[in-house]
Amino acid sequence: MIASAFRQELTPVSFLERAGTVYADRLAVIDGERRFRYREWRARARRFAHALRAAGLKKDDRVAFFALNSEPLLLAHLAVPQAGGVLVAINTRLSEPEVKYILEHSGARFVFYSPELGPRPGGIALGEEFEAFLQSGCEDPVESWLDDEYDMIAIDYTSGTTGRPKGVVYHHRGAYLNAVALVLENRLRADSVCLWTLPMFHCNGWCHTWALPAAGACSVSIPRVDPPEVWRLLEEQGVTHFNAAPTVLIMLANDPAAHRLQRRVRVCTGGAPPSPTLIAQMEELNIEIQHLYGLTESYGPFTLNVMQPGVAQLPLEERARFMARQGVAHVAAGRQRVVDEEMRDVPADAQTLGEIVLQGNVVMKGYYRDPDATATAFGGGWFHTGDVAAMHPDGYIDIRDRKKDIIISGGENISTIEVEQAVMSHPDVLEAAVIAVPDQKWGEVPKAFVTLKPGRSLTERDVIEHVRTRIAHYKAPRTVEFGELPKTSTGKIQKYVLRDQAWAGRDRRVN
Amino acid sequence: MAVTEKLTRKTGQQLPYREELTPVSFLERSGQVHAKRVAVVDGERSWTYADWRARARRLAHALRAAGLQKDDRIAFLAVNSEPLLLAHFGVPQAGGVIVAINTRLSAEEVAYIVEHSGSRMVFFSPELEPALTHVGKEVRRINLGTEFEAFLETGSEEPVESWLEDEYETIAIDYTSGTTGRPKGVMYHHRGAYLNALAMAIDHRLDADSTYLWTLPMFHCNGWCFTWATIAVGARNHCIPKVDPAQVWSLLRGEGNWHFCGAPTVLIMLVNDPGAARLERPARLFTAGAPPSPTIIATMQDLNFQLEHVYGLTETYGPFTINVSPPDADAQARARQGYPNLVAGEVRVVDEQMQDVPADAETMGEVVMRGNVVMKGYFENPQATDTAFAGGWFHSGDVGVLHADGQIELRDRKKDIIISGGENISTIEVEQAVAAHPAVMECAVIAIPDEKWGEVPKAFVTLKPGQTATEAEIIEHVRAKLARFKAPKAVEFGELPKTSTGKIQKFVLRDREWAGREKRIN
Repeated sequence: MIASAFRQELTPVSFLERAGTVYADRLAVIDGERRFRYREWRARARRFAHALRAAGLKKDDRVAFFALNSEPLLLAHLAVPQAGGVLVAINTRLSEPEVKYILEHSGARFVFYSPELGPRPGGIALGEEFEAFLQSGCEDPVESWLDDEYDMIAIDYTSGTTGRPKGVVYHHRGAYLNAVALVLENRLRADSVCLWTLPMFHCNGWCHTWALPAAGACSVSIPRVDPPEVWRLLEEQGVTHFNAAPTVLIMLANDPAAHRLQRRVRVCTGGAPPSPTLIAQMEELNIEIQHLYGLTESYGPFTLNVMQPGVAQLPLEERARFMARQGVAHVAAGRQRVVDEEMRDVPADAQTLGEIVLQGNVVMKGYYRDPDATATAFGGGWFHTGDVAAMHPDGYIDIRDRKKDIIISGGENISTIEVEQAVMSHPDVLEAAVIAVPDQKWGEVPKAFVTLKPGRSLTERDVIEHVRTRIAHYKAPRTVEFGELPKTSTGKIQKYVLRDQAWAGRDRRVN
Repeated sequence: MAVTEKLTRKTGQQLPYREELTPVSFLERSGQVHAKRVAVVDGERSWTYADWRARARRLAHALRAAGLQKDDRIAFLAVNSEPLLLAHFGVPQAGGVIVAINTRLSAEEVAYIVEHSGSRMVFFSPELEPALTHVGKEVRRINLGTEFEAFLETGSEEPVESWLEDEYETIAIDYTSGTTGRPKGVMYHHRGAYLNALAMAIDHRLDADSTYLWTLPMFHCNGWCFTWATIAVGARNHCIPKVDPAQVWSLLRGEGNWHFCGAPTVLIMLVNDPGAARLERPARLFTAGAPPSPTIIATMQDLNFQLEHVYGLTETYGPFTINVSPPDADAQARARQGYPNLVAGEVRVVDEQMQDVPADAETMGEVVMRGNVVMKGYFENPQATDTAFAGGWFHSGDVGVLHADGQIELRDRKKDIIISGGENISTIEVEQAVAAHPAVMECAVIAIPDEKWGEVPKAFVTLKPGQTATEAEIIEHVRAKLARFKAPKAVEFGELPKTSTGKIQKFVLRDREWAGREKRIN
């Protein structure tokens, strides 16, 4: 670090420090009956930071949150890094063995949890226990321990292809820049109100955990998406923004409480392209869709489907086709390419397929304690997304398939290998293959193809129940088909044969 | 920058997450993302983003072909125009440093800047050629007309290989119009320019549907970083060589979501123009350079302007703070300089020992700043840099107070405080009171020596055309607004002395009033 008048490390911690003064009297967070203005919320963050240090936190110690969307989880995004710690926000839908693995792998020194998710001995429950913890800190400014903006700020675990979740490391600089870019691109302002339909554990809420305090906007936190409640809050709280996977939007649009909103609301959606039906439905509800694309490894949003002059006037089908593209890198993201196996750009002909690779300030620092996986992901100096796309002549990327064995279901990543391993752990299963199949509601869902051991019998139900005891429920196959698996002459399972069947008649292999 | 990152890059290993921040990336991106949108309009000519990116690349290649080495300075003495805007991308993309010179300077001052900056080339608006008379013969000159177009033809539209190794490298040197001594060259780095551009785009609410009108000279802090901010979002730039109020009104009434910036002097010109009338669609603007008077704030609001008050110096890439007031705030609250913008850093008001003054809206101190949009230093002037950075903070030389809500408010330049009978008087406060008189167009207040009180305020006033007012009327008017001791003891009517940038030269007035004395305080 160069100490000088013109050198300041970029960190999103500065956003709340600033908001506590500049937007002191504005609402920072609404969580049920509780409301915090920026002045007091900054004081609360400082309390939390001091309390962590008082409890023994050392620089770069990991602090885990196994929590539903809530004010404390949002607070942790500012306070944990302010204390000098690294936030590990864990997906609440994971099974106990998965959570245990993440806690162990990250070496978390503190665990905070929502009591609704079950007891967690040794942890600190959000609620009275958390409030008591905060009381052990004070409201004085917190001396920064940040030496370098490339220091870790968060580790986000994501399902990889290898079965075990990998810890994606974010640094302060990337979090800062992605947040600033989102303020600009998503038009967040001090009078914006954002409803937390997106889990905060998803890429730190697509960096909105930091972008909202940057703008001085108000967060309305909800523990889960309950459509009638969402519709009520959209009106009552004067919501201007929210983020959600298309699955959630479909749920909302088809809820009996759905109605045209009085004021226009902006929604960012990603994880799967929005369908023409959904786009039309949203327009009728007075909701403007912004399609974006990214991965856990890119701090969430990396590309945006930027509207072009004239597109808004196109007929729905054509407009939807344009809006379904993943788009172009946002203003601070960096660069995206679509390349062949030799890292050469594919022609921008909207047809030739290649892998999307990314470079720039909002690419992760690497996988935590996994140099091999990091080196593989960073082959050739670019981050390899594993997503297969075509490049349009105008530079917009358009995802068609996936290289990795990943299923994206309702915005959540599922590793097919992980599901296969869970299926095969059943004593009656000889072998299994899991692929994504298209689904109206969830975009994609896992389907298992199973060969039983001779003389054994199992029902679809049996297999699904078994998997659910081992991994998160949403990862369990929706359907199971029994029989021989297609194989190469060397005995390798030919998943593509299964995929060809399941996706016959479609022009892409992702949904 | 982290030592490890630097080492890693030096060993040639590429890190996908490391990318130097530079505003050059904005045009490279917009040339694709906003390819079909109009980037720049200048008179009869206009360019789409795709064409304009190609033009910037041509300029970069042409500069290299003409012998440009990394960090070479390239001077522009130009009125607001497409080539000057283009230079904000083409020059740094080539690896050079842009020196945009104030067009109102004398030939001697221009020659000094070209020489001091070591500029290899000077591009100039043909009408400004006389200002180059003293520039050395070894400096290549290219006029921004047929010569410039021919020069561009020597470059190609191919992507330009970046020579940028570190975002702290210099992107621009902006010479400050000196009140004393020689102009100093304020160095901006790529990182600061990038960050302040994003902050400007956010605070001005620019997007791809915005049209930015170039009322602010691009040579002023690189147009307060709007040269880069507008391109970051894909907005349309509308260049005008000078502010002609009638033309500005006619443009603002035309198609577009208009945004612009201007010193209060420009706003005064606009509201006093015969064409002034309420706009149908609001126009957004930033003002800075002097606090807008409550009168001008109210008038602009009536005309449907969304006025934001920002504050900064050449040394802070232009705007560093922004006034954040609720919509119903009174004009007095809105005249405060405000808070640091999202990316700027920190601002303090300190006493001589660098202790914070109390946040009581009364105790005065010097405004100091630090953060990512503070200059790197003065070019080839380490002494001045050290002085300016004493204690690790940039010393603005502006005197202000801190309000209880954390906003700063300027009360004076360091020398402009009047101490009268032991009471402090801010000249700005008095000026605002005088300016609130309906017949007053502009004014300046300084301290003059007084037998009895030590110092007393004296007002110099320019009246609006066709308006009249007497000394007694002005004094009575101020007395109705402020403590009596703050009212001017004398009023003089006439033109005000100004710098080439339109800043009122209070020191000229002071020199006159304090002639023959050793000290300027009494």
